[in-house]
Amino acid sequence: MTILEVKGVQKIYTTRFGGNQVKALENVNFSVEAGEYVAIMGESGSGKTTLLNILASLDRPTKGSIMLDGMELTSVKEGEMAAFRRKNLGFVFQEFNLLDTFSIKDNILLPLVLDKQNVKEMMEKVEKVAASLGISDILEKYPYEVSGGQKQRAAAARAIITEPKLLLADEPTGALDSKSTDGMLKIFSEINEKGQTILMVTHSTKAASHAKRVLFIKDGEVYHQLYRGDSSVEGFYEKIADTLTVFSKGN
Amino acid sequence: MKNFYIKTAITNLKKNARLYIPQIISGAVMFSIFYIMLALTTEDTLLRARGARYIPTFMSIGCIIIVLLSIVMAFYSNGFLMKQRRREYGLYNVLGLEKKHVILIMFIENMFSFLGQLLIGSVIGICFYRLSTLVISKIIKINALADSEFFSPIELLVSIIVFGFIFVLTLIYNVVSVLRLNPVDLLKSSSTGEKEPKVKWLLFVLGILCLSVGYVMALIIESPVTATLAFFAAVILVIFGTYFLFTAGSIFVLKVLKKNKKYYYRPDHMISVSGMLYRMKQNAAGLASIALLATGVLIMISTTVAMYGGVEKSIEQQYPQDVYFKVYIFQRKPEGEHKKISYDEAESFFRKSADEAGLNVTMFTEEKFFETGYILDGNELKCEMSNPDTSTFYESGLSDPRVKCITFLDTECYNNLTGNKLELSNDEMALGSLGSGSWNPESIKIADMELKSKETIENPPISSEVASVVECYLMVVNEENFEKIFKDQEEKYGKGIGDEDYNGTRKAVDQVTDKLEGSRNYASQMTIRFAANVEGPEENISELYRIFVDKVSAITDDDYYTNVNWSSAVGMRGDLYDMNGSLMFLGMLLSLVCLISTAIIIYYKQISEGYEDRNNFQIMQKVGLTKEEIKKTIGNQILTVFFLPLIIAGIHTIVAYPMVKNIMKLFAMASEQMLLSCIGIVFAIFALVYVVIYRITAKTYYKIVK
Repeated sequence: MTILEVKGVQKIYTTRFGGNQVKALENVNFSVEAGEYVAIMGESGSGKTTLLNILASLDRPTKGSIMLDGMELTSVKEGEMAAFRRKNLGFVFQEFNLLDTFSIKDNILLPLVLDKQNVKEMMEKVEKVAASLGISDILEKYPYEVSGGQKQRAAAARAIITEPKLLLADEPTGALDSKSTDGMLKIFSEINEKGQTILMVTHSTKAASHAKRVLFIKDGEVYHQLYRGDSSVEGFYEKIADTLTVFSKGN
Repeated sequence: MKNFYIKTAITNLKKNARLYIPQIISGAVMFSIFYIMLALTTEDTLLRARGARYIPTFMSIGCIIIVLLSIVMAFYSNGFLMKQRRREYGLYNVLGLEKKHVILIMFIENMFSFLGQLLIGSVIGICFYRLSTLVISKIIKINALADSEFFSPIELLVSIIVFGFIFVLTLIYNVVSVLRLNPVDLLKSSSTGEKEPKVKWLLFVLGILCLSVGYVMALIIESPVTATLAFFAAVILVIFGTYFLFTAGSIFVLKVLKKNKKYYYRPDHMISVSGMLYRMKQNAAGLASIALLATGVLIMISTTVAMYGGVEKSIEQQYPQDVYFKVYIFQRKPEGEHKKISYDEAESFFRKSADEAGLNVTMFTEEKFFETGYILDGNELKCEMSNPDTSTFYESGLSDPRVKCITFLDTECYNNLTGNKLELSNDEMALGSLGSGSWNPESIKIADMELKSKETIENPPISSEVASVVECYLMVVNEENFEKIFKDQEEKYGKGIGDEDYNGTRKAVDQVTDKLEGSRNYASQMTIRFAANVEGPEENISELYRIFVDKVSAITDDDYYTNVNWSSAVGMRGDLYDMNGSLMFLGMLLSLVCLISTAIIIYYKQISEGYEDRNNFQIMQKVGLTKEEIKKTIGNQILTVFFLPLIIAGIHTIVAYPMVKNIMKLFAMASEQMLLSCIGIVFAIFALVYVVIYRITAKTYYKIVK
């Protein structure tokens, strides 16, 4: 089943005083099946952040359509955007972005609270998610009291507690050392194995190599894609690296 | 190269305008008010003007208070700025500027800010100085000071030196903190996270104790005269209680809210409760200060305005006749003997003097009366004072509603004063209220007699100084009963001590001291004085006094000298307007300063929180919080933090009201409604100004967060 379908998306930024126009996205087309784990790779300035912002409904495309589980994203009204976001999308950020004023539990609960859900149900959900990520015993602690790995899990728990149709990750390993990166990627794989669709934006080959499919984006267009198929993480890593080398030489 | 530092400093100031503009404005206002007050202490036209005795004294007190407050505020705003900019200075250091260069940049920045304060402050000060002299002369009702100075260079210089000294103090602090800068620490992420605050139970309990004891004291102490110490204790207890409760109590309440899951897990509640939990820890002291400053402003302004506004009414109450005087003729040797001027002499001197002063005498008589306190039991007035702690009957009256203070006149004197033709037999009397009391019995028992009320006196020709403290009445009886009642109270209370005994000589003082021993001052003495009404221009009355004194002095020879004890409604009015007006002016200026300090504390508090919260709100927005929700949450949070001190100030004022009212009675405040409406109006104005500050602050905060 196709969960996300992006068709002919274009984004043009107009500079402040009119005049110059900058094309951030030219013509982006791709789709994501339910349960997939897709990485979008590209260098700085390739348009991947713009794409993510559009997918996250934080920004609107100039042209094109985005269907999320049969809903046209571009037709959601401005006022309903925030609600749409918390119901359908989960986020993992570059830095964990946990709020220091909230306990781990409250951090995880935040999206549900914002959605004004029933307190009893919230508590059940948080227990379940915490158990599945192995952080049940630190729920009452505060972000600054737990380890980096535990923070990652808490951030992931916050992203999936709403059971989002799509989990968006923006450079989730960008600010991490190699050990923590491994940890984070392991969590993503675990979540994905449980059926969560993940779309990750990264420029790290290592992070991308954990995904099942990699899209390459350059100058505002998806120009190539690779499927992992049966290859191991290491094997996929080499394939991605080769692809990147070929294309950068091709330029 | 020098140019570079100046340029950098200017760029920095521009970039941080949000931080520096409030500092410059508040500093400038403080400076200008200091300058105005200082210049007023030496304003020649004021010193020369009659009836402006209090302005210099009160303004000197004001100057001291402003300097103290300025030091506190300078360090507060400077500390805040340093905290915000520390990272930046550290970065300069990392980028290769030596510390002395960083200090140079900082010095130029601080200097610009200081010069800005001086410049704007001087302009405001000079512009408003003449206005203030005009306002003062209006308030204390003296002729407008047309020739007051526009500009006092010496006072301006002194102001610059005083504020320069404060500036140097803050500068030293800044230099030391730059020298102690460790750039590596600074560049590390500043958000290491703070522990969730715990409820400090000891403080919490202490706070509740202090506040409740203070409140109870304020509510039950009725006589501030005898309980001055207790009153101050109550004030100090409330101050401590407020601080403790803001620190510990607020966290307690927030924790309780947080425990309540149904309440806590809602978008706005969750964000504000947890946000405020952290906030309170840093801000409790600031908020408590605001609450106390606000209480101070409220009480200061409303009492001074009420006193000022009550002048006319208290003059009217205290001076049924225009002029009262006594003339003593003292013997020089041996000291102490004195006699009084005869009625005829006094009258002829007075009439002649009035003629010369261009005044027309409409009434002249000798007033003979005494005033004493009774306990009303049924319809009997008894000479017994119940409260052993008090030394005068009107103090007992503060706590005992049965106490009535009666002023007695005989029929002859009453008729002279009023022009009526009242006649009373031995079992009759006439009664009138001298204040707000409405006791009007058919008959009363007094001094073993039963007197029937013949008529009610509507406009008593006499007043009582204690009418605002206890229920006071005038009772007119015939001459025989007048003497009888006087003897009766003298027997029961002991002989009274008063100015009949005290004539200004050492011998008399000794006699008075002897009498005082062992007896309380319940009994009163007979007062005999001349009373007169005159017609003509008010300012001639002081002229009348001078002429009269000259004439009286002329009759005595080497063995005797005269002493004229003179009081007039006009003189009293001048005195009261001078004192109460000066006090009100001081109250207004100090309130302005307090208000500005409050605004600055709040503004900086919000800004620093804005920077801290920016990150959090960005995260929340990504998680799915709409802009409207953010706005609403911010609104709630700021509103609570903002208006909590105002509400506390309101409660403090309400509790303090009975006590303030009692104190005010001693200062001859006209009416309770006046005080009440003053408090109401001042509170409304204060709240309005507060709302304006809130709006500006909330806007800035939202801009930062967005």
